[in-house]
Amino acid sequence: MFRWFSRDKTSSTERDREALSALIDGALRPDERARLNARLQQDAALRAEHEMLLQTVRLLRSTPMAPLPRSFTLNPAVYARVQPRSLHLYPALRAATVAATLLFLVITAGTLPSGVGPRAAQAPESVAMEFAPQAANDEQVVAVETTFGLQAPEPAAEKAVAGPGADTIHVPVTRQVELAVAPESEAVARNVAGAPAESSSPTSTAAPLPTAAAVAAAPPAAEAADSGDGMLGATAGDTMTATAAAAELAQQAYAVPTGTAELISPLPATTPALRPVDTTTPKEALAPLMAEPAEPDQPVNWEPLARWATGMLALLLLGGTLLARRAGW
Amino acid sequence: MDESSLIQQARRGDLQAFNSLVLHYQTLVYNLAYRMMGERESAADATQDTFIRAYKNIRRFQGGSFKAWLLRIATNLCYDELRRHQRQRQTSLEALYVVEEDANPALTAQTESPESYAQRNELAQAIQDCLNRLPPDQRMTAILSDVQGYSYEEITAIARISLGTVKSRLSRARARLRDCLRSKGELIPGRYRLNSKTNEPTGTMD
Repeated sequence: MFRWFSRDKTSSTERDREALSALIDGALRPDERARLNARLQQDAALRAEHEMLLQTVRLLRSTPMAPLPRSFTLNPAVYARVQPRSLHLYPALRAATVAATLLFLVITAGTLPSGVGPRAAQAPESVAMEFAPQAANDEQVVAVETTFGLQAPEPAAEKAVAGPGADTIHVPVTRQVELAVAPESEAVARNVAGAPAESSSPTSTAAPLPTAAAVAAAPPAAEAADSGDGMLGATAGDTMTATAAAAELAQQAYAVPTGTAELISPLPATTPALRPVDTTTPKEALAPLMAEPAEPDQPVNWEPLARWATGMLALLLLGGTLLARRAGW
Repeated sequence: MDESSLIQQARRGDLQAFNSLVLHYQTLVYNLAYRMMGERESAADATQDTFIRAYKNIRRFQGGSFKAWLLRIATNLCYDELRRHQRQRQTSLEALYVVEEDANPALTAQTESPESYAQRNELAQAIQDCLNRLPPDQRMTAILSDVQGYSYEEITAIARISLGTVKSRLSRARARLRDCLRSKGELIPGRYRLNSKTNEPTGTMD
């Protein structure tokens, strides 16, 4: 209650002071001026306030001009070559920032639906389908032992061998799987490799599975194959013909739920167990397979790169715009 | 040569034409900066920066009052500088004890007595000290209106604020200055001291 009074009184005083200030400057309308003059005649406090303000203004207006310490003309030696700016950097940068941001949003919005699910699930499949011919062309000899392993732990998405409904083994491109079959488990290796189970031909190939699983031939195994030490060599023709069967068998043998990519299990009792890759394997021997392009025919997915590039561009332009605004460009 | 043709030449890169404009406005700009900053060196820097910035951006001047445009640049530079030095705000001894020679013909006139000269100087120091105590926006309005004598409309053009804001800021600034000058009491020469005698209303200053 009292605060209301106080506030009202204060605002009233401020209004009076503002009116007195405007009266001093001759900025009141005639009717306002007449009303205020009438109040001044009756209100001594208001009159005193008015007088004090008037003296204050008079004092301020009597303030002398300060002398110049020097001339502020621009030195021709310095500024003759500096032309007034004709470029309006700020508006240009601002427009460019808006355009880059819109482009980024369009790209992001356009890729979200297609980039998340179907494409991610489809890519490994196509990789697997194309791996066998590639390996056949290169005439890579795949050495098979009783065991095979993953060379390095990888993210779950890349370790998915095959989902329950998949047609083939899904293995990422960069993955290095070493298959080796010991002489005593040749049949198992052949089964794993995709040769028909009843086939006892020593030339039946182990290519499809290893190639489909991005197989890397370890040099010791390759040497063993060359010396006929129970190793099976793969030919291109065999690889091509055995691909479907190998995929089917491999699916039966190594199919795991999609979400359990960390482990390629359970494996049948007759299936070679996973083991870590022999770290003693010379890297030179792996180099050709590691270096070769994994998916020569698959179109490159430019969308993440475009997203990143436009995002960075928008950020850089935003920084430039703020700088231009601050610098008065 | 008139101002508009000087401006046109300066827009084409004629530095000599621009320097003619500098010579014409440098006292106004420097005094505004000096009253705002409260000390000479900062005021000189702000004044020089004002003309440099004005020259570089003169092609962005799109007509209207060149003086208002120039003073707006100076005002913004002073605000920036005040913000930068707000934490180490102190009254310069130079500003307190400077003798403003040549500032007013009366100050250098041989007829003025040393006593009168000293009184004027004391008054100028007291006013500057009170101005320094105002918030920057009120200080700017008071300087433009009461020290440099611009109208409300000119202040709205220079400071880009509304007429109501000008009135409000000016009223508050004057009230604070009045209180400050009264509090100085004996520091102000007798004939300049504020007293609360209740004369008949005199209306306007003009």
